[in-house]
Amino acid sequence: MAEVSSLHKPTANRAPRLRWDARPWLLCGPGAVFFLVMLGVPLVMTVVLSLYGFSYTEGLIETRTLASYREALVDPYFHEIFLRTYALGVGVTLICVVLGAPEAYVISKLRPPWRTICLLAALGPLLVSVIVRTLGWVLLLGNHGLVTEALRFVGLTDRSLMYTHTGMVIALVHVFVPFMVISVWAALKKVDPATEQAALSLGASKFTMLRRVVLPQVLPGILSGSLIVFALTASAFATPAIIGERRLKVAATAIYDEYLSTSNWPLGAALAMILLVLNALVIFAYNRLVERRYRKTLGEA
Amino acid sequence: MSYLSLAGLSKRYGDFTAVEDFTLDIEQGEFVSLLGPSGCGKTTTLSMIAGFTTPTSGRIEMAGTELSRVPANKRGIGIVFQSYALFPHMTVSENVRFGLDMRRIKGTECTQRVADALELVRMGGFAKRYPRELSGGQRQRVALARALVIRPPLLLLDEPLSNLDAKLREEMQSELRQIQQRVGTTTIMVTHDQSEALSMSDRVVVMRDGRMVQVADPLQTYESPIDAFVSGFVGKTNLLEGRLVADQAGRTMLHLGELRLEIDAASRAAPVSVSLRPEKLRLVPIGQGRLSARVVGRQFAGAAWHYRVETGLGELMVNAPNLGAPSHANGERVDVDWPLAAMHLLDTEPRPLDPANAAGAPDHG
Amino acid sequence: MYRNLDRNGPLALVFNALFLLFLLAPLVVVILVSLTPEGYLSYPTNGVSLRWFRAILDNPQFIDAFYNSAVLAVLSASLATLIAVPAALAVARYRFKGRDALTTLFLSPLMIPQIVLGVAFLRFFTQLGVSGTFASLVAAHVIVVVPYTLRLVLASVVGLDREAERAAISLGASPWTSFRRVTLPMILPGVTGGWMLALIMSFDELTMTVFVASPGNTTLPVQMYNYIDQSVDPLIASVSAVIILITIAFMLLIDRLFGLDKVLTGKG
Repeated sequence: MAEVSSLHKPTANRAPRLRWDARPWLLCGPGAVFFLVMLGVPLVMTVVLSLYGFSYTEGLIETRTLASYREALVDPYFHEIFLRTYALGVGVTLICVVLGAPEAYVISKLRPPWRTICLLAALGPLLVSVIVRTLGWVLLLGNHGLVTEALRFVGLTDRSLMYTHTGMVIALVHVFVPFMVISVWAALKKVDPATEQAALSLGASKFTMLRRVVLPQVLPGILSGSLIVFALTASAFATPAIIGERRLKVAATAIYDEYLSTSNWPLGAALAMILLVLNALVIFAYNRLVERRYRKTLGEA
Repeated sequence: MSYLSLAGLSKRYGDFTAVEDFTLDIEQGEFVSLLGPSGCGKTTTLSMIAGFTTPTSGRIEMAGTELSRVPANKRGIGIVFQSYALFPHMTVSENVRFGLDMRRIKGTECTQRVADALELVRMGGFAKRYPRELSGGQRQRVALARALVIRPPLLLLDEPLSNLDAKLREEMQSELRQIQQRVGTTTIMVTHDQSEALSMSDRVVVMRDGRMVQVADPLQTYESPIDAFVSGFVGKTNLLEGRLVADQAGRTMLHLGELRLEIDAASRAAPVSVSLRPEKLRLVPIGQGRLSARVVGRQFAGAAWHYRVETGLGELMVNAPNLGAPSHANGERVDVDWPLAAMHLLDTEPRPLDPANAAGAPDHG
Repeated sequence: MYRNLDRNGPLALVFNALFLLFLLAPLVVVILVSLTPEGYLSYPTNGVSLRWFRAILDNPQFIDAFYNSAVLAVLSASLATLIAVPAALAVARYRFKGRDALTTLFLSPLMIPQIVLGVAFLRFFTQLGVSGTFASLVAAHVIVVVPYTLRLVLASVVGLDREAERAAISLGASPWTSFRRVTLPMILPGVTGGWMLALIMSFDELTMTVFVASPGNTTLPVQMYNYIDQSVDPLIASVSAVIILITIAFMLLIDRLFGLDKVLTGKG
């Protein structure tokens, strides 16, 4: 997602055109109209929907009221849900950084056949349906799952990790950590390996070399990977729905339930809009911060 | 005892031998070039001295200390990398300061040494810039300053000028050499560019297929190449096939086609190759030279004319300084002449390195 | 100089092994459970059986959903390519007002949580009276997968050597011929890579589709989610095992053709 912003900048400078040119509009016009209609109209409709009233006896009431927003923003029940959602986002992101960034570096230093094999193994799960991967964790964390039995054997816990925060974090890290690996991997490919040798030749220890020469160069990759992982975790549905079920709701599962269980559409729509705005704010603020920090040193040279 | 002593250095990767028995003694302050085509092992040799590649066998001794088991970050050797390897996230002065930070040199000494190093490479005004804001030549200078600021006992240059354009490369050649002489750091440079090796070094080591072929000073490397490979790789040359024959009077005659030339060499009655540098040949009026010829091609290079002439010995390259006189035309008949001393006899078989050139070289079977 | 650069130490290799174990364990477990001969969730400790794979054939709801998902994926990936290629050409080749806004528009589905898209599409399709139709599924999926295709196509168009096209025109080719004979073959890897990535993204999509699918027109992930919501048994494991195997085959194909890392970073 951080890449999105870099595409906005002009890629080359050409002489300004004096005459209006119809060709680009002919090329992307149909697609643009489709996107405007398919994105704009539904989102506006959802905003309108979120302003409707609702009662369990009458269902939808076509008025204009902020009642759903008030409920979503005031009710401690939803506070807890949003707090859980963003706490999971931060926690999962941090764990993904700690695991994914070193893994990308280790893979980059493997010998040729192993490098490809390990890269495929680390990125491949990204292509496997989230539902299948989450099912794997249900089987591992369930009452007779391998992990549960192992934990029981060691005596750490006798409870299964299903329906716990720990279980959700483990499964979410599994689902999203490949994004961190790929992001850091892409950044590492731009690092001149001779800079590592240069640092060593100047007397740096291996740790100093990693901290002062490698880490700063891959930091943009870590930051953009973090943004992707955070945004995806905060809006994740399948994994929290299956591992956390209805006991540990997050924003996405709460919206789902408002729509398909309670049928309180206005409240569901309001929750969706709040999630959209919060995520957009985080992305926007993060991009601003990162760009300001890195335009000078590691801008697109 | 020499300052840097490399003895029997070898590197094998499985069945592949990258470097075989590299033996060389280098004096303090000397500038030595490792010259050869890509894949000749010169870079692997440099990498072993730097400590990035562990030798399969052999010893590296500097000022009496055995280095082969010392890790790269404890050797204190200054290196200028082919890609310069400047840290892109640090400014010029931060780059140069890095090595001093590692040595915990702080305060005014640190500031002063960074400033001095940047002055030395005439980059004093660029301290606050980032590498990507510099031109290739400027990055090169910063890389040199970064390597020299730690006052290394040895400076390694890995194809340092290969990323610069031709004109800048020539300027940097003489500047690099001047700086090296001023600072007095013992230097080893790897290059595939023979003119670079000849113009900068005190001694040139020509390498091929992981082995040293010839170690000599630049003039000797050029004038007395040890075999056909060196004569062809270092400069351009005309290689002629001939025979040495002893005549009835006991003189050694060189038979080159129809030519019979008396030369000052021990008679060996053997086939020989003769190297004749193009700039030593002269085109003279018919009847005044050793060989009759016809001009078949010519090229103007500003300071000189490069001719191709057809002779009884095959096609020869002849370089003539441009003295302002009209040149020979294509198809013109001329004679080719050269002083006898310009001929350099080569063995037709590549022969092992003369131990006298590389001190202490063991037998190369 | 770089050939023998510091290899990984033992600690790094152990870390690598544990990391990959963590990533692959759930997939391996799914495959193991799918091979059980027992009638309940268990590992195939008493021999291996394919009974749960045969059981898939007796459950037409999975077969139908698989078929739906496959058709949906092919259609939406192809339509997405038809939108992305001209859009990429316009954005990369021309400087015009609104160019940045257009790029943002086409990439924006990446930044909108899929659950929000689902909610919005549900309302939209219901109001239009097309809710639950296959066409509405296709339209929704096209929106979700266009960004992936566009990023890859854009990367290949931006990295294109325009001199080759000028050469074709100087040799007498018409703009259309030069596009067809020179440009298109040069960006084809990016286009195919984008199409395949879109195919997988559409096939895997759950969060948005949960809202717009109907019992009559459902997709495999939605079918599986509803099934898991009720119970977890070896049947769902064998369905998942089939998906894993298909995905691995697809992944190897993508990697062989384009390099998986390039496709995933959008630098095809």
